Amino acid sequence: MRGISKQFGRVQALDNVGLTVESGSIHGVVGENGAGKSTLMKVLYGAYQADSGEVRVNGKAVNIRSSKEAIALGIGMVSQHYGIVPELTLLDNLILGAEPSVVLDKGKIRERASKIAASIGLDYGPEIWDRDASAMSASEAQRLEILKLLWREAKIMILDEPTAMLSPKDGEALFGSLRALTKEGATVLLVTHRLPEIMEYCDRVTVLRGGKWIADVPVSEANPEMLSELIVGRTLTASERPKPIAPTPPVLEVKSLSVARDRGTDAVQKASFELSPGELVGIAGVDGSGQAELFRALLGVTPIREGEMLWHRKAISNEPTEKRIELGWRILPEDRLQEGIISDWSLIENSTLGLHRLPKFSDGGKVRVPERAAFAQKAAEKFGTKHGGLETSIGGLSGGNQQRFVAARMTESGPKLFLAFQPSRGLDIAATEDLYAAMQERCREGAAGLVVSFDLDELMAHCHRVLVMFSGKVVVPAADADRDTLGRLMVGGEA
Amino acid sequence: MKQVVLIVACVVAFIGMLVLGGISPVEAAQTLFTGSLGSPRAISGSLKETTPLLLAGLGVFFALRAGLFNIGIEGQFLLGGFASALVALAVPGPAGLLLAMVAGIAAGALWALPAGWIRAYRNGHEVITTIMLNSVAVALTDFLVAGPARAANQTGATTATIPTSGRLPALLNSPPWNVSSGLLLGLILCGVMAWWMKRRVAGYELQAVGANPSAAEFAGINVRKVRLNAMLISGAIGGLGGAIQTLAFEGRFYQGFSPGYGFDSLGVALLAGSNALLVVPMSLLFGVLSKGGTSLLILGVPKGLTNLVAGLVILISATIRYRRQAQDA
Repeated sequence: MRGISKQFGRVQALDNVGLTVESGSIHGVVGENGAGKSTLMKVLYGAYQADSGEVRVNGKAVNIRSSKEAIALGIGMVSQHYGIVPELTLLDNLILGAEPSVVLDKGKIRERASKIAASIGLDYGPEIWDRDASAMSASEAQRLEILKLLWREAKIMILDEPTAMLSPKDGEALFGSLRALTKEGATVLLVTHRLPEIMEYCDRVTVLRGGKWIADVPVSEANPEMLSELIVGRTLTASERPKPIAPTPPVLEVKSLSVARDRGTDAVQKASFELSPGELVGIAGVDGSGQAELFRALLGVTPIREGEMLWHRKAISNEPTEKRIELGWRILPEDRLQEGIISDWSLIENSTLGLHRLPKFSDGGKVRVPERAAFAQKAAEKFGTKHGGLETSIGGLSGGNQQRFVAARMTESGPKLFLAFQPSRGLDIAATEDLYAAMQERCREGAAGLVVSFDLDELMAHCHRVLVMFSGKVVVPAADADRDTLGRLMVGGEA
Repeated sequence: MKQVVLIVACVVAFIGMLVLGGISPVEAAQTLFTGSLGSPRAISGSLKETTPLLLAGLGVFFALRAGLFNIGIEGQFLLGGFASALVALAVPGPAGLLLAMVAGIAAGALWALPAGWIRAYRNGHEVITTIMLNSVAVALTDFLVAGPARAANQTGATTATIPTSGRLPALLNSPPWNVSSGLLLGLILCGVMAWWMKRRVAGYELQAVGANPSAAEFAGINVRKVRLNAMLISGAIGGLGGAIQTLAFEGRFYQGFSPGYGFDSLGVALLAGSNALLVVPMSLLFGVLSKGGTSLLILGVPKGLTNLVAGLVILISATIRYRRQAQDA
């Protein structure tokens, strides 16, 4: 890819960016949010058309206008959102849209499918292919996405943040598979925030910043400090891990709390833990271990099946969400678009979503318009949300900017208890540091915080202590548990 | 933008229908204009048609802001009109007038209650339930007005006529001008609703539920309660529309009381989009088309043409809405 430029409205997303990838290699692409990584990949994949520049595949200039044309050239993308139909079997999902013939010979298809799976080290027999896709875990879904590309004979594979939802162990397995593929001549383009992945698995790495090409270096000549400086454009001082704080009477007590699922086993099983004032506590675990259900139950959005919650020693399980918000509980929900914002509404209107009944923003049922506008201004400034005016709809902002705004709504509204789900989602390194600093600040003022993240390192770097959720159960390890212990607990091992 | 597209489509559709019917568009346009806006009498007539569309449109608009499509407005309008006629006949004078309005409001809300409750607490879709309730409302009022509520000296299915003292006074009555105070009530209600949506916490919550119910839940809003209330108030406004129709214009209730005002008002509310104040020009547009459409009868154009246009508006606006959803996904 040479001299690629792309403009969205007034924003120059890509400015004369070049990218050369050797076949048979794993090539990392790193940069902050808004650096242009995803846009560049989407140009390659045919989802966007570049304003200028050219793309060559195996030396031949090509013009990719759609993902269909990209796949015909052997270029495929595994997106962060899996395109899997839960009602169909794994095999049907595999071939969906790329069926070999009108009448399907399932035996033959299965044979080829298993051969492809074997090429990335998976032993998939008929019993696996005939399972419903709905029964798959996040990592299985991701592997199926890769298999789908292989089924379509992709030679160049783009992976955008593939390990965001995976446990460390599944992540390693994924890279093992990718390695096996490159040995057979496939090329992998890896977009990631995680420098250890670059250092460990990539051959070369390209750094983008603000839509511009910054550097292209062989990983053998790179180190994490140098890369993060290239990414951010300044030197970062790593924050020191906070020490566990001395136990004080808890402010929140959760006692054998269970949350039912629509069917099957409980999503949360007899969870018990406590939070002391001033404590920032992480919950580690792979996605789908019950973290989302726990948060929903804590906020009162989902009913609890058994157990109880105490706030300042008073039972709160039967109080509605509204009441909990009144007591100073705040949430940064899992699914920002579905649970955190109203896309069509302005930043001003979104700034008080959930806070709208607090006396600060409501004068006996009348909206306090000036206070609301002032708060929106403050929330936008806190983490540097880039926006085209507070009156414009929040849906027009990038995911990272929405996250900055919603995170500030939580930290800047006087929380007594905050529940942050994947707070760093969509944020770059600097913004993540700022957000954790703000949460720690609130804790120093006496609030208690609970943070869910799938990134164990992120939690260990910022939280006073880290709990682990695995398969609906909350494990409370020793306050000074090390990384290996927590990693084992995340996959159901023993401390 | 969306509104402009819809209005243009609406007018084009109307003219298209005429051309399809083999009528000269120029002649039709002239007749339409003269019949609806060409004289004080015509304008008064258009405003009379506008009034029920404005009120029913506000009812539909209100529910729509809560994410509910109250197709049942026709039934609520009928019940409101019927109940107010009964009360106005039973209690004479201004006190009766007031009671009749209250009765209309209550009847409309009551008729929306099952749909609201089923939507909020049993997750049954309001479109299905309100369509069913419309059918019941038509049959029920037809039966009552043909039987128990029929005026003693009448052969047709109608109530007795309410004496003038029990009717809503005219705002302006100097022939050929005649404008009812019902229109003023609708305009006031519209202004209040626009203010309420923008400035009241309850209006904020209602629209949050309409725009994103799960986010509303996370914001501590009682989504079920808001949905039930929205449906009740929507029905109440529809019922008020029926009451005004009885007390300001018809003076009685009879079989065929509404020529489909409820249905046309769906188009009015959809055209208004997210702005309550736009319900006024949109209902005026439909009122003019409806009044002008009557004049077109001379040219052999059937009266139901505005219904056709309303149907097209619903189709087009649904297309726009779902295209956006498809893009978001």
